[in-house]
Amino acid sequence: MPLFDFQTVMRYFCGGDFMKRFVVPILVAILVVPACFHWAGVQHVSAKTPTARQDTPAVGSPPVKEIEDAILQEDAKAIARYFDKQVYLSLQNNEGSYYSSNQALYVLQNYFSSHHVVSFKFTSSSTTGATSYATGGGKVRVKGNRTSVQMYISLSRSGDRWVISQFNVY
Amino acid sequence: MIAASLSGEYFYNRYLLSDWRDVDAQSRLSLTNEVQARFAAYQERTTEATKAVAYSSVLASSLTSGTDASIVAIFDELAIRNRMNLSFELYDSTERLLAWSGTHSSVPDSVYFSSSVATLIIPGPILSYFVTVVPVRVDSVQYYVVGKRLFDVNYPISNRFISNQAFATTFTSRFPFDLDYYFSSGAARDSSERIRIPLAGLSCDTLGYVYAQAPVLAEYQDTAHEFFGKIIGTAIVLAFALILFLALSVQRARGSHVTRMVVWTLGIWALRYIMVWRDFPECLFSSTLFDASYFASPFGFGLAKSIADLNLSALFLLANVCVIAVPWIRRASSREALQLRTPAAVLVVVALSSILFVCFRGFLAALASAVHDSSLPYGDPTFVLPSFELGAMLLGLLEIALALVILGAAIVMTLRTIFLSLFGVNRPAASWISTIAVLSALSVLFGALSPNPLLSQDERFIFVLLLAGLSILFDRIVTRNGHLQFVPASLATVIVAICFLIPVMDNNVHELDRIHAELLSSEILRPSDTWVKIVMQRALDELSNGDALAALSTTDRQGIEKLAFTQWAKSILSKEGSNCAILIFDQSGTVLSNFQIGISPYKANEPFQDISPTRRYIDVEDQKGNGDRRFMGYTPIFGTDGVLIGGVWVELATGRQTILRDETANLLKNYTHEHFEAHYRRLSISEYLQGKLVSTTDESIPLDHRLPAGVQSRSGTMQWWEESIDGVSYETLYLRDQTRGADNTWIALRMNALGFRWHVFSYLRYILFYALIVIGLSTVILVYQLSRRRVYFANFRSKLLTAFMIVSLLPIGVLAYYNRQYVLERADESVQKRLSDQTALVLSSIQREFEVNAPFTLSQVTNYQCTSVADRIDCDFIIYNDKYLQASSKPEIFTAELLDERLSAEAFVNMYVRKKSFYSEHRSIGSFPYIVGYRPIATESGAIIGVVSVPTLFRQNEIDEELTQRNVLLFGAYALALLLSLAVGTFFANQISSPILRLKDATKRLAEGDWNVRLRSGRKDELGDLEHSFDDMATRLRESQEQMLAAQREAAWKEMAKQVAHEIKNPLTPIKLSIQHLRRAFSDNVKDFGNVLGQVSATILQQIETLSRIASEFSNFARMPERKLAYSDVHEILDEARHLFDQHRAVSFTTDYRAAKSIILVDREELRRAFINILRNAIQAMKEKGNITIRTDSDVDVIDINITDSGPGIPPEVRDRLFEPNFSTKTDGMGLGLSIVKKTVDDLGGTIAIDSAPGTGTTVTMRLLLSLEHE
Repeated sequence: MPLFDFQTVMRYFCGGDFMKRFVVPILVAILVVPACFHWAGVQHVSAKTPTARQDTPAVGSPPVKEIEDAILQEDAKAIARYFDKQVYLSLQNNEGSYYSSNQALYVLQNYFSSHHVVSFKFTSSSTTGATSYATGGGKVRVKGNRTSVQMYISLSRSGDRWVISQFNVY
Repeated sequence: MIAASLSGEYFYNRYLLSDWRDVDAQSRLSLTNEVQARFAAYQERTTEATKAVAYSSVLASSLTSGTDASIVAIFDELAIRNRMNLSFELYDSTERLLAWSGTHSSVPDSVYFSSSVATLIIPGPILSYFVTVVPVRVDSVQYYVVGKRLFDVNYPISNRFISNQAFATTFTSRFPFDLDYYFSSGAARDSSERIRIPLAGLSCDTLGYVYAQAPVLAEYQDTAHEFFGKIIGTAIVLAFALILFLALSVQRARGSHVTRMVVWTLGIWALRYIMVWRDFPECLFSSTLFDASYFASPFGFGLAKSIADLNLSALFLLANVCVIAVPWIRRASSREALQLRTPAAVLVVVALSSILFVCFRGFLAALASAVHDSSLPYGDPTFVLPSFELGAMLLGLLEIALALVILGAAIVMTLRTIFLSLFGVNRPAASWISTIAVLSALSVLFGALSPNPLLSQDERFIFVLLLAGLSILFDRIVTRNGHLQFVPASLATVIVAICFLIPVMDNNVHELDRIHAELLSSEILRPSDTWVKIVMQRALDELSNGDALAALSTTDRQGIEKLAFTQWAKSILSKEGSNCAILIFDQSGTVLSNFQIGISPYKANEPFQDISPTRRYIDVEDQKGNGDRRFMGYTPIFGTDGVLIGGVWVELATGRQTILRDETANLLKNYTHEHFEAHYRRLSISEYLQGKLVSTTDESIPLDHRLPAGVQSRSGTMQWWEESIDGVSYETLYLRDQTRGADNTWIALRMNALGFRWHVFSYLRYILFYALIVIGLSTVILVYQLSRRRVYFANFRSKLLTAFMIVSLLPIGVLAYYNRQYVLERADESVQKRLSDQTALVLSSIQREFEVNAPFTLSQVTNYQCTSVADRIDCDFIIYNDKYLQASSKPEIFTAELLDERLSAEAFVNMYVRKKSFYSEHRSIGSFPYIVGYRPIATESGAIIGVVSVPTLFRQNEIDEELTQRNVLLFGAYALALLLSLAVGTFFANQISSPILRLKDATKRLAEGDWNVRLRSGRKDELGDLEHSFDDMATRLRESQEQMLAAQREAAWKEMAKQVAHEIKNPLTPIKLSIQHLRRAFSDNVKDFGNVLGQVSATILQQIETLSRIASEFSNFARMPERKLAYSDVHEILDEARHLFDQHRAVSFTTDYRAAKSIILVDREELRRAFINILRNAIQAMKEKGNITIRTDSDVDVIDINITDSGPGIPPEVRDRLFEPNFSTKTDGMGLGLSIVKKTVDDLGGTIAIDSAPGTGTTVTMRLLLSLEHE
């Protein structure tokens, strides 16, 4: 016997008079209630409305140390937590481009899967208002060989948090 | 396999660890042999090709003659043999260059001119060449033919035009691993990290050394781990797929639809996640489709982490939806009302509607992700057919759209079946209208309760209407032929899916434009000082690092000259892409190397006048009050002994409008800003102060343009406006500039609004792509069916449509091809005309410039002078003195070795030999094509002293844009013509084929006995005559059939009367004899007359009874009583008939009533008699002992009744006559029983059949029409 008999279920639901007696009021309700919602002016948010960016005060210092730790641990997800909605990503030997934070996470993961960080440290950083920069260097291992890399990140303040707007590895 | 892989990896690792020394030695040896063997073959081919040129008869005869024609012949000969990326040069005995081909120029070296064939490698900081020199004597004069091939490229820039991969034919590029070279003496020997491989020349001398990476144990282990991991991953995926296949096979045989659906869904998604877990099939091969830099989305924990993954997931989704939804569509298409109790009906309607809108929202989210989480050029107007990656992406999205549409149609049709139960099957329109109305209303409710920016109310309405349209189409297709027709249903689904897909895609691409503009705005408004200072510090660190020190410590003149460029290319300056200048000095302040891009340095002379040569220095300077700033920095370079050996001077220009200025050729641009300029809608920046326009990069904006009044009054620092300026529509992003502390400064980023033409072009090319996909798939299916001899497409209409398509598409295709060629030629002519004008302008400008300032001497023209002229006339150019570069307004292109410093051979021949006043040619750098125009510089006496050339290199964007606009126009017109011809072709194919198809159907119905079929055509043509003739024929056939039937009926009645008379006579004789016997007994006064009377009367009564039965059977056969039709349950009638035979104890009955519907309109008594007849026959056949099985089944509108006995069966010769009247195998009865049954079934519009064979029992199958109205 099958585990679930569709016909049995359908027969259970089958019925005649009930349907005929109540269907009209229910149909009316289905038609009228949404119309009321609509007329009441319940508006959805349109993606095409002009956007307005409001500046908010800075909270905390740029998370340079956290990003440095994440780079050392090759933790792309931890770095991606700080990515802006669109982030400029330029990795060694790859064409740099703007990526969405979602895509940038995978691009960075792919990079770390072939470039294993041996050492890394941000050597200089600077913050001015809502923007911050940090540069540093280290070594990565690619197919058993170590090479030097330079990293530059650019952060900007978005609301109450700092986000990475550029992540460059040369 | 998994165990074997794990064991294999374990033992391989053990082997590596124990025998690494042997493995290492063997690897080094094989690598050395491979490199040397390849180099020997490379050297031999080059030498042979050069010898072929040197010893050619054309060369010898031309050198002998020495005329202009012979010079042209020599150039042509060298050009013809310019294969294998080889360049040739011909020198005379004085080492003077006579002729050449190709682009690989370098300063000739005395080592070229040896007395025997020789090979050598000319190393360079960027490009290295392999050279073969072949001496040849012609008429006792010594000449040298030099063959050159690019040997190694170490290009420091990598962009979409220029990269090491673009020079794909080097010796190095033949190897799948990196190689380094060393061409001087003292090359280091083998080490643990590198292998040194000597390269032997023709005379066994060492030309240089190759360094390859030595084998690394960790790499071997990693490779082994990766290899065995692939096997394990593949094994896991295949094993699960096999298990799933077996499980589904078992389930298919035993389970219900719902359980099959659940098992299928869980199974395939489990398989998909196992594939994601094991990176399958990515682990098996590499492809750009797996590259996250094209597309990657976090959806579903890896289900869409690349284009290939998205496609696979979309295919799984489509398969899943098909398994679930297609049976629902088939079921709903049967117009079978789904009767539910009211609460259940409401619940089902709301639940299904919610699923529908949630899925639609998911679909929109997927499309948004496909655009926003990808770098694919959706909006690139230069493509008509997409690239491989974009095509794969579009295919995946279509699969998702198809899944949505199929699921949506199933839901809509299911909802409609609920409303059918309310309005009845005879009112389909009411049920459709109700379905659409309720779905529309629920869409509003859904939007109100769960608002989402991805899904507007309009989109929801359109979604509902499109799905309803498709469902109605399905309904019509299905009801026409009784089952779902694959081809039209699939085509309709694809068309609706495309209707969903393309507009949404277009919207998302448009939105992405705005996001890009907003990103650019953040670059513009970014406070730059801090960042530029960091860049400057970093650049000075990088420029004074070990490479510079090493270069300055050598005597490599060429290396030092290129040092500024190579250091720039490697530094952060090239990555940032700012206009900059780099000067490298020695300790005395003499410039050793310089590279400038977009600006001229202040410190070209006397660098140490204001600064200390031993101290780092950084300063900034405002320029002309326009916001642009110049950052300057200097850093000393000290030798290893701490003594100053030189210094680096860097200047960096910044300014918001420099972001969009075309001062740097695309070839040298970095990615950051190239990203914006590759953008298909050109952006311009305008600056407003106090509401007035103060500067703009768009010359079409009038200088008196003012900031729109509404901009300042709105809040926020960033606003999008749609505006029209001088009749041109723009989408403009207004930004409040707060970086300088002035609130009344606004920056406007403008891009042209997308016009109707653009949307048409965009839509049409997507449609074209999908049409090609459909045609491709159809062709594959057609070929498959042809190979299986099952051609579904080959009906008359399809053939006619195909013929129309071919007839209309062929001329359009040919016309489009030639028109496109014509347009390209016209575009080429237009560019050439422009180049002709520009070269003339340049020529007159430089002549005027130098005649004003000094006597015209070409050798004194400098790059700086060229730049100033170019700025004035807005046209970059190059000046050649004789055949070599003299000066250019863009010297960085030559410094970067992107252009040859030698005039092209073709230009030389056309200028100097053929004396043309203008010449143009197509050339390319890497994968960057461009056109160059040449014009000779002549003295007053007419002697040509040089050549001026203008390449489109610096204006290629504008040319591409023009070409794109022409493409848009051309493609739009032809695509529209194509669609129109498709529509017209389809219309005419239908018009022509429909009467023939109707005729075919009518003939078929006529052959099946439908004598009333008529076409009643209104056509006035030959086909109309044919239809009228058919109607006449059908009428005459019906009349003759009626006459024949009447004759048959009469004959049957006669036969029946004869039989009845015969049957009646049989009892009459005993009656007559009995009465005669009675009369005789009475007259004889027989004693026991009473007994005689009793016997005789009994006999008479028995015979009368027989007569009565005969009369009764005859009456039944003739249907004399009037029928009383009523809705009756077949199962009840069967039970009544069965219970009449309960007294037969030795006969058992088995009932299996499977029919879900069993109500039919029938004379209950008549049907009961039919069943009784069948059951009685069965019992008699079984000798009143055995089993009778009664089974029922229902399909869409019929019920099947099967009555099977366990009797001896019926021989075939008897079975064929069972329904004939008066045929019987029994001793009693008239043989009318089964005839009556057949008449009853026929009159009910049903069918009856008997299946039997001796020894197997007999099955009587009746098929009766159900009464759906009563349901």
